[in-house]
Amino acid sequence: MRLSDLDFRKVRSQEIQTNKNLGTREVSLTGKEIVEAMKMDSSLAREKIEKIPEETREQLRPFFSPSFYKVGPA
Amino acid sequence: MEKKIVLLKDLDDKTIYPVLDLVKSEGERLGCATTSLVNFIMKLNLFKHLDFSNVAEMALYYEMELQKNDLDGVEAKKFFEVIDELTPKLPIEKYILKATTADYGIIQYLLANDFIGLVCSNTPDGGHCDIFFRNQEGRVFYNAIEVNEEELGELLFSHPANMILLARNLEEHPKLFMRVGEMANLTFKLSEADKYMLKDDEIFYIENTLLHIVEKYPAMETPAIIREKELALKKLGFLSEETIIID
Repeated sequence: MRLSDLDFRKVRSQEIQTNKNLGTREVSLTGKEIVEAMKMDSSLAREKIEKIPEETREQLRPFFSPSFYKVGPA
Repeated sequence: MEKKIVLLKDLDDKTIYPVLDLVKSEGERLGCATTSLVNFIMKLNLFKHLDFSNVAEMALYYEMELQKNDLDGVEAKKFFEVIDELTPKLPIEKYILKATTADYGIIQYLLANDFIGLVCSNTPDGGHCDIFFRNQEGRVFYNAIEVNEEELGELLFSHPANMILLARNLEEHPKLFMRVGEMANLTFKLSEADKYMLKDDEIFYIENTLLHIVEKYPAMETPAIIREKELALKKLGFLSEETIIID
């Protein structure tokens, strides 16, 4: 499976046949949808996040936008 | 961020990377390993080091080479070995991590330092290969989709078989190493203006070798002396802040 399959699967082949110059187009794919498609029962994410020391987190915080630390979809 | 599918013939260094899909004129898509590799090279600004006349030619070459290695399902270890074979001359600093043992704090630290990530992930119905990176505003993207800390974690650690490669261009981010012994024995004659910036013991560390420092401060442990000397040298700019002291 490819991430683009989640959004492009239905329209891609028809669009490519009718429009040779695909250029740029927005897609509705979200991080949440991708995560849902890939998530496995054995995901280690929560455990890994909890292991980041608070000191490290504070050092890193200025380098990332507030949206990175947002709870729920970015 | 723009989320693109791009015809191979339109691909060039003006294209905004990462692209989501590379499509040949007859509608056939290039493999996800090829797409990720092209994204990775272009995001790292490494194309100029490769012997191709244009980006599309590079993409087609990698597509053929990756197919030759029978990479159906994108086995991570094999894919990273193929990258090594295909790009041996690239001036990059890189780290390869396994999902099972990788420290997420380290991955975030590398992202904060402008490393670009490539992850080979397993999914319920196969595997795929994607790019992740932090942009100048500090937003983090997985391919072209913005993700937060939890989402990126879910994607990177979605399966114990996942592997992660993080790299940055050494021309843009020079990596400076100095051995502990070299640094400990580095001495400078300080000007009066330099001395004004430092404490007496810091002046002594900079103007003398490790042996002389130990003679004057016998109770101090060697690692502590080396650390103090490193800090003093960096304080005056004699040693770049980027310099990493190695054993």
